[in-house]
Amino acid sequence: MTLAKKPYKKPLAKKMYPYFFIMPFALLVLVFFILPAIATIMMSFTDLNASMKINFVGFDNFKRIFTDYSMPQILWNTVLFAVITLVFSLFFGLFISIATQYFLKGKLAAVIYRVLWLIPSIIPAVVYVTFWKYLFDPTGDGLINKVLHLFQPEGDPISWFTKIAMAIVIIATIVSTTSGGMILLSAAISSIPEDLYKAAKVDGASEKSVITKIILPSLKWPLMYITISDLIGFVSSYFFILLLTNGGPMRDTTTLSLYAYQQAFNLKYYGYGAALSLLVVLISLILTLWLLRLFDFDEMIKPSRIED
Amino acid sequence: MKKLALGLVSVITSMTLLAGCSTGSNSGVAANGGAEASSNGEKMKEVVISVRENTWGARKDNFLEAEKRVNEELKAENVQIKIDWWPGIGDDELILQAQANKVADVFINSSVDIGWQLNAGLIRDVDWVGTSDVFKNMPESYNNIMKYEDHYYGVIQDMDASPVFISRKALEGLGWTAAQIDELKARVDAGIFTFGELVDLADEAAKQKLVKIGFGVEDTRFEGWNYTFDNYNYSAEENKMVLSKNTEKVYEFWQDAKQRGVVTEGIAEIDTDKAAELFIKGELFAEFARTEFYQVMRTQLGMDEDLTGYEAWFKENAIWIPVPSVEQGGKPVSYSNPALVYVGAKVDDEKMPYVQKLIEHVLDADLQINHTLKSGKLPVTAAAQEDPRFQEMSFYKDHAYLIEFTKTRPAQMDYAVYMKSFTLGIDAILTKGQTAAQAFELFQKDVKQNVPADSLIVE
Amino acid sequence: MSTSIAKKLLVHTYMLLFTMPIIGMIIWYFLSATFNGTTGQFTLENFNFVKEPIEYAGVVLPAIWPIVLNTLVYSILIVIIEVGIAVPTAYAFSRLDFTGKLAAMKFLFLMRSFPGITLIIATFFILVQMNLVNTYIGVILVAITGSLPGRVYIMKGFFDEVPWDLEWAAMVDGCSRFRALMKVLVPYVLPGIGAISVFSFLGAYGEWFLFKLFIFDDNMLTLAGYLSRLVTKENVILNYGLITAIGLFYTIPLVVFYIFTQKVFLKINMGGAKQV
Repeated sequence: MTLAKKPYKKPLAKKMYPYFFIMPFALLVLVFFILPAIATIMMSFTDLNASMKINFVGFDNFKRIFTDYSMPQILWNTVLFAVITLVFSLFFGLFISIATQYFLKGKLAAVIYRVLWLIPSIIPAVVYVTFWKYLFDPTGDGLINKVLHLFQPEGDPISWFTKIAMAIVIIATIVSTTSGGMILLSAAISSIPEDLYKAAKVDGASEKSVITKIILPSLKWPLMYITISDLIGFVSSYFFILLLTNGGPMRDTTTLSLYAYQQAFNLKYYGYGAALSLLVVLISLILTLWLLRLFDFDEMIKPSRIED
Repeated sequence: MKKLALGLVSVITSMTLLAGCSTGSNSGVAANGGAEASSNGEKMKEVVISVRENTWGARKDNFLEAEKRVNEELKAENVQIKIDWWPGIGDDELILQAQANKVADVFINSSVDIGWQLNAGLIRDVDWVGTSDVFKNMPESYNNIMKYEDHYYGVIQDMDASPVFISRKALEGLGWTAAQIDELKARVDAGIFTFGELVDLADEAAKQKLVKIGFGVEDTRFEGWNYTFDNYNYSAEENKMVLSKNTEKVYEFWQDAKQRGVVTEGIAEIDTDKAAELFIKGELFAEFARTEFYQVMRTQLGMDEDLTGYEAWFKENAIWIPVPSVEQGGKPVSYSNPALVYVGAKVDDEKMPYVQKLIEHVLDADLQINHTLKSGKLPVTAAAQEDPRFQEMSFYKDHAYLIEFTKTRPAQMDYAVYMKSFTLGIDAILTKGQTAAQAFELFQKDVKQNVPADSLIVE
Repeated sequence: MSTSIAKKLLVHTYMLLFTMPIIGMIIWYFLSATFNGTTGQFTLENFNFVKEPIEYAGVVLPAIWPIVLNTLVYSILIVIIEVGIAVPTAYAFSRLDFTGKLAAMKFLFLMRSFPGITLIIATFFILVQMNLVNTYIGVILVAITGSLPGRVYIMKGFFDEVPWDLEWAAMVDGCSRFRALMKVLVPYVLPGIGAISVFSFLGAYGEWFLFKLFIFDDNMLTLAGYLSRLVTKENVILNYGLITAIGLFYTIPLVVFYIFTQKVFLKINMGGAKQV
């Protein structure tokens, strides 16, 4: 603290100064991210299982990934799940935030809608899935089958979880993850000065052009952030799927990260699980780098203007 | 500055709080520490035994009672044991906590877990079981359950079997007389009534709209069906999983049952709880579950306190048989998933006698029946089956004979992944309309890829 | 005016349509928690867990109120620590120049590519080595490492908003950078601190996986960890009524919390609109 008062500062101290600010964080990252990451990479070259004996097997695990006959299907499931979920949750996030922060700005209804949408994301997953299990229950007790029964008293109850498992998983995930994007987008829209809207209105701009010309352009950064973090989230998420379908029927809803989880945790093949999860990481990394380029990330980091 | 100071203070307070929270967590790890004054003023040696288990049924009560009985016996030797109770956890946590040196002296898990637990270094042998009084004259099936690679590794804590629960009303609806219904079990026992006939009955009952669903099953991998088709999948001599042609026969049954509507596409979603609900409503022809299903229905009917009422209900609405043999003249089968008491790898030979005494007392006849009453599981030993309270419960008493020939899942390490491949084939039949041959093809491919080659025999 | 009303109606119609499943869900949770499945009668017996420790699938769950206390202590600790680390870090990323800054910021973003589950086993071994398994410190350190990048990004957005003149003025008055940060900037970015505090709190409140694997002692669980004990080994949920009752007990305070803090969320700025 007294450094700044001294007439002659040591250049080294000055240089080091910013690092003091990031030191605690850097240390954490080193110990709880970089070290485990290295350890996980090493694990993926072993056949580590319940016995916890480390036995290096070279590239065997990776060879196995590339020869695994179910891999194309699993990768396809992952893409399908991540892309559809992303598109819909972005769409709903955008729709709700524009509706509540532009059309209904300041209204009580806006708060109510936002609170309602937030609820699925804060309900603990184990409780959350019970609703979907009930909704799509294959016996006549399920809500949808009950409703169908009213229209078709003769029809048999439909086994939803074997017919449209992927759709159920996707819908449940969308409803639960929309609010994350909604919060950030609402915030960004609310920070647009009212004057801009007024000026547009005076110019006789339509609602459509207010949305496309004023609102959407101001959402570039939050959209980037949400796209990247949601996409990575979907590629690496497995928990809803685990609880709803456990990847079934067959491997119809098994995504790569669920497969990795099953190998490591259900089947106790930690080495192979580590190799699979590195593949998840690789995909996420490529996606992130690609999206960062697409959104022109470097521009976001402004240079500091104070030179002391 | 004030804020900074305040912040520091709060961080320090929280650190002390944290430290407070973390102490005591490792306390009670088995040690011959502590001392207690005995009646004559001498110091008693205290042996702490950590037991990890959930309170399911009367398991916890039984351990505590056993502790008392052991201590009574040990007074003369000037030794006392003390149980340190840890709550039960999942397998992943067992493995991880072992890495952090936290392994209970005694814990309970399924018999299927011997293989990997041994491999993970969690358990040690309990060869005293072979000579223990408790297991005198035990049925041969017990040896298969508790032994693995020539050693005993677990002590059976409770048993079950897999009776098939059939709707009596549905049989009546099919025109069966009371006498015909009542003698069905004897015909199954004698191998006169076959599995195929049961499938036909279910089919008939569903077609006549007597029931909504033919068969319900606790899990699509249900071993009772595997065993009746002689699909045992395991070679104990080599301790390897076996890829055999017999699996295709099971798939053929599934395909046939699916085509005739005896099993529904969503059968995997109907768990035991829901099946009990359907069975009570008379919508299910037969449920393939295990002994506890009797208790599950009793609870759902709200008759936990009313044995006579429930027995009357059961008599009126249900009968049970073992899983029938597929061939005329064959033997019926049963499948069980008993819980074994395991002894942690860290228990040394010096401590083992005390652990042994504790486990032996947990298996005292009266305690076993306490557990049966609470859990709906069968007692393990013949002595317990003679308990008058057990004799009173006709359902349990009558089907205890299944224990003689019941089979359990192999304790092979890679059994879980093998079964995943097996159910993949069933899913293919149920949800993708594949034929048994296609399903078997898929199963073969999946097993060969996923089960480690040194754990597999291809027939 | 009538067109504006028609427009609002249209918006409401769409919003109601989209929100329907959620409303249905909420109703179902209440019904399922308060009605006995077999008899169809209204009952509050599923809420007995607030009075006494209950038994579920053979587990005697610890009494709920100490768990609530754990949850509060844990969540508040997380908030304090995350804010304490995120603010200076975000400040450095926003205001200071140093070698490797760009790379470090990119790295933060890429860190998100490593889903927590990937590293969990390796992290466990590191905690064992550090003697931190089964301690809150261990869980906290791992949890904040995962969540800090997000907080730093949000916080950086707030620092980016602060006019440079403010900091200049303070520094001309002879404040050091650090004092300028504490005295001038921190009050200015208080809404941001509020926002990340709320996020941290929500994150901490919902943490269950780390508790499941790193905490051996049931009495140290938080509410989320407590709930995760209700799923059995085979991922089966046994008592829907009980689990939804506990779920409501868990969720309702959060909803209230959100209603009171939702204004804070609206202040978040990811280097957005006002950026020059």
